[in-house]
Amino acid sequence: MKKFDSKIVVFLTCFFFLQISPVLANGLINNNAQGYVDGSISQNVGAGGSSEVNIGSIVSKNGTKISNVNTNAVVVGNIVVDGNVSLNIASVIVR
Amino acid sequence: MINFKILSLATVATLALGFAPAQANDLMSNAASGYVEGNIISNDFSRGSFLNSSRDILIGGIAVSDTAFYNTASGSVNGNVTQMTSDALEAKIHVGSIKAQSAMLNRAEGAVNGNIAQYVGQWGQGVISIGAIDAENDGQAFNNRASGFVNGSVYQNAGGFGASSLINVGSVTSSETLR
Repeated sequence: MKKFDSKIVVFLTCFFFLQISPVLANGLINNNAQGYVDGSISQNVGAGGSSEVNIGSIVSKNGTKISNVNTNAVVVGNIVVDGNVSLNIASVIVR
Repeated sequence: MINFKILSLATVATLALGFAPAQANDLMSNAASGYVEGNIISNDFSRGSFLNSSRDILIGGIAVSDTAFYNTASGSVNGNVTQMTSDALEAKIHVGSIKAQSAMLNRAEGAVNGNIAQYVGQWGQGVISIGAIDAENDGQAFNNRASGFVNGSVYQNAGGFGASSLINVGSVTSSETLR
């Protein structure tokens, strides 16, 4: 009986580490993002500036891990950008 | 003599306490719900300092600089949302979005039944997030769900010199910082 208890404890310890392990490392894991715009998107940026528009995109910077990320974005209308703008639609980007 | 069982239980308990997000700036196990029947207008024409000068509008948003764990936020606005800031200020509008350096098991839902407009002064920064998840500072986002809905148009103007702006719709990012 005592030996059986020890096995349970070992199992729980391993289970705990397996559960917590994805959280320890920096990353985008098991996320779900949904966006909806029933109209237009307009963005204007002036001189010397920069802008970014992400529609249903996954953007990782500095090597952040991406795993099981789901995005769903809908824009019912026009997308108008003016200036130094990076426009990403349904894109996966690692910088 | 300490047997294996006691030692293992003590180890698990110590680790569990060690990993538990319990720091001062954390958000843990909260639920927020709100509704606005009308317009939201936010104007700030004071001069920013480039540091900690952020003007935020959150509608069903979860935002914290450190850890957000197991929170639920739900908000809706039946009207327009307009935000104007002067030079060197940060302006942010979050609709059903999650933003934290470490975000785990959060749910955010936001809806705007109208238009969103944001105007940023020179050297300022504007952010509009609709159903977006951001693990700022290249942090971590684990098992979150964000949903944003805008029944109208989104307009962002950062026309001043040196200003930058960002729009995220249904996107997941590891850092809100622009390119």
